[in-house]
Amino acid sequence: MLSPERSLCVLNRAIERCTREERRIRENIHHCRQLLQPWRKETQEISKEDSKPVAKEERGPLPEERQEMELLERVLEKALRIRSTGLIEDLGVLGKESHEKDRGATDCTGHRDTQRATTTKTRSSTSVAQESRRTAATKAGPQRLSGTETRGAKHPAARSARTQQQARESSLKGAPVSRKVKQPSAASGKRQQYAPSSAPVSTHLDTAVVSMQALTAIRESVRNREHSEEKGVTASGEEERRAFSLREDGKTLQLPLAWRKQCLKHSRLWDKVSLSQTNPGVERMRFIERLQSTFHSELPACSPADVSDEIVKLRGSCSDLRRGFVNEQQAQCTASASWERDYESMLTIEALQGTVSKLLYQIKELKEAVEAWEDVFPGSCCSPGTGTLRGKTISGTPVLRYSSVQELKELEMLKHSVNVLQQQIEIHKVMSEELTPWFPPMLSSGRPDPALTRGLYSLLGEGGQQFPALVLDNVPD
Amino acid sequence: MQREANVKLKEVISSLCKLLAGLGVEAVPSPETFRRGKFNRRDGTADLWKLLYSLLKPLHQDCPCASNKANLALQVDFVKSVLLHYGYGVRELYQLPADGSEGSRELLLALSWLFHRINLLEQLLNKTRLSLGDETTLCVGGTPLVEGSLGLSAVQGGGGGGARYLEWLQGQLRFHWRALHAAQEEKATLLYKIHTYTKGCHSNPSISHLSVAETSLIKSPRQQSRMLMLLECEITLLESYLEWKRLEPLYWHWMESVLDAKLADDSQEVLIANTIAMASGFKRKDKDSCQRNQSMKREMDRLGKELLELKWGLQGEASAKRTSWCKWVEYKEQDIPLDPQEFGAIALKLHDRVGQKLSALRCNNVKPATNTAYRLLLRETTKQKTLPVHAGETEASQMMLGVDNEEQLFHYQCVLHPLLLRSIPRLGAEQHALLK
Repeated sequence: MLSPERSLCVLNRAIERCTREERRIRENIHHCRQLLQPWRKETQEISKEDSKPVAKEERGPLPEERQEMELLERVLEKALRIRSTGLIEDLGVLGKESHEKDRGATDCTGHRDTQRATTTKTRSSTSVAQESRRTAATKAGPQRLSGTETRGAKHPAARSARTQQQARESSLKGAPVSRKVKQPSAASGKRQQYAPSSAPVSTHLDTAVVSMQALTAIRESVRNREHSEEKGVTASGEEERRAFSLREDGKTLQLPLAWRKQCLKHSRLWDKVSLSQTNPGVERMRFIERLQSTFHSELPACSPADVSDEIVKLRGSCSDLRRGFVNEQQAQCTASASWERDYESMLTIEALQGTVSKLLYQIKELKEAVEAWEDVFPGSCCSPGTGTLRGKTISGTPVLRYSSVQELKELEMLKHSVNVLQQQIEIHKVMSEELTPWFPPMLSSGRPDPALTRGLYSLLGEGGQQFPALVLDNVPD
Repeated sequence: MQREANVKLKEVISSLCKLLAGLGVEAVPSPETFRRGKFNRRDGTADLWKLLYSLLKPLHQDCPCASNKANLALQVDFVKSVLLHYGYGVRELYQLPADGSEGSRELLLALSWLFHRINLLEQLLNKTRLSLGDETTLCVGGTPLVEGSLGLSAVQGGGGGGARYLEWLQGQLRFHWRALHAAQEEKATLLYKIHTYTKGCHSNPSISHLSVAETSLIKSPRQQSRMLMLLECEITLLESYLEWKRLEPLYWHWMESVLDAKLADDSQEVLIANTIAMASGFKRKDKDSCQRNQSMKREMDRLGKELLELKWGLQGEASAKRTSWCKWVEYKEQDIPLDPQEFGAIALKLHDRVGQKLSALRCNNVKPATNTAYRLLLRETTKQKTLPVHAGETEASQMMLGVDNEEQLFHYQCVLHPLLLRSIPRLGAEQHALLK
């Protein structure tokens, strides 16, 4: 019955265009936000993967790390105590408690492992941790077997064995996986990453001792990092560890020398290019004139491209005249009634009339030109994109100066509202063409479809923007 | 002498080929192809067609027929259509066969004509220009939504649900507009922040702050090396363009000799009948021929209708005013000076005022070049005006006035179709009747 195809098409196109533009702007926003967050000036030596977690760091993690360290210390002390007392019954209790703490502790060590892996200073401690991990893993093997054999601690041992097993498997993927960990939450216990290096649930002294070693190494590295962050200077001088904030230190930035040199050369060349855009030379004009004399004789001087340019200008002139008319009418309402005012408005209206007639004549001529082209060269001609540089020459990028953020925002708002209004006009035109045939049969018939009536009323009201479109009825859809 | 001329010619054409390669054109033929084209040899013709296609395609991305790359016949069609659009009137070109086997000389002439007519090389150069600053355009027009024939592939829904679906789509569109506006405001704020934080860092004192691209290249050395590479490529390109400009007069001189060769050949051939030749030139059927012309004519009809409506409105007003004016003169109600000279002086003054009003209207229509990208710069707020406003710089406030005018203009235009307006009260009444 009703198929508003063109309207649907136009609306879909508008929505598509809008979402595309929004996506583009969001990407820009993301990029700008990254620049505004604290960052570290990366040096050339650091590899690509290393720079990512470094760049993501913020000043926050240290107090949390301290908390985690304390947790780890407590757990390891307990393990040593257990070992020294030799009570296997406590293992079950310890197993349960430490299970939660284990997760948190291992999480933080995993996180710290990654951090350590990226800093060059603590490479020595990394090797210690890696060793401890390896030894823990090997110990986990026999421990698992022994765990299943023990009587009293079968259940928690099995659980701990399972954790060890998982830890061993996950340690292989530990490094890349834990890199994704941003803020390990010690208390949540939801993460499934285990690094076996600090698994305290073991009855082997060696493991516990190794874990203690790991803990001291960790403590050392963190302390070192704190020192270095406080001083803001690294021993080897390879990397600026203090995070750089654009807000505070933006004024100290400097463009690199190589870049500045090339930029200067670049702008000089563009200036030369602009200067070379002089009038076309004698030889060129001579050739073009001779070539154009060989053109078909019946062709009009105005090409289809010129016609489309003229149409754009005409659109502008048409809206200008309409605006002039409206202005005049408004002025007439407000102005005083003097004979001069009346005479002036009469003259204005007549002048507008004259311009309108001229434009109508111009349209007729353009139509004739298009038809002449069609007669001589039948066949389709393409439409290039609008707004090309036809006839214009290169010049430098013009500068637009603004003085406050309000100006920028207002500029964007005005541009946006003009675009929106323009699109709305087009949509209205298409919809009016398509919906108008619906009205007469609907209004003349005795019982029009309530859903349709409701729909059309809402459409006309633009969802309440033009006039109140609150429709209250109890007729179902 | 001849050898010297040959060497020079080779130099010229090599510089042209180098420039074209630098501009990123895909299928650049060798200088030898150009030279043989003058003698209308058949072997390089396909290459020349491909060259024209790859030169014209980047500038006409919106065109629906510029889609198929590999098919030579389609490429030939595309090139012919574009040449027709720009008004190339040499009949022989459109008579060339679609398989691209003949006509290398015609293609050379067409290529050179395009260099002049649409500043082809300069357009391509501008298109690939590297932008280092934060740019914005004052493109308030945008491409119209109703362009060409609306594809029916996006049609969904229909029947009684048609109206509901339209409403829903309209609501969705309004929502997206609001989201877009919010994103634009956010971007403006962030940009302003970056500009203020980096004040005084730029090497060029008149610019004074860094742009987003420049800040990101300081932050990341990888980005810096990438941008340096791009910059160096552009420098090479500009140098080859300047070289071409230096040798350009020789090229045009040579093209004249090509034209002479063509005219010499033509005088000996018998002219083929136009109609038969035309049929072989264009493959498209009449049904979808001149799609663009049809839409142009539709647009002109629409404009004509609007102007006619305006004319009627103006006519009504004008006749009313004239009668009232005549009445005043007749009844001498106001103190209209009867002395013709005095009256004439006043009338002249009023004529001038009216002329000024009209030209003011037209001036408002002179928009800034809509697709020029402007570099956004934050103004230094110094107490003494030490930095004079450079020539060619525009103040954002001035631009806004122009855009503001546009907005008001569209507000006036944004009115519902009169028929719909008349139907609203009736619809409301119908709705009311339904409830009872």
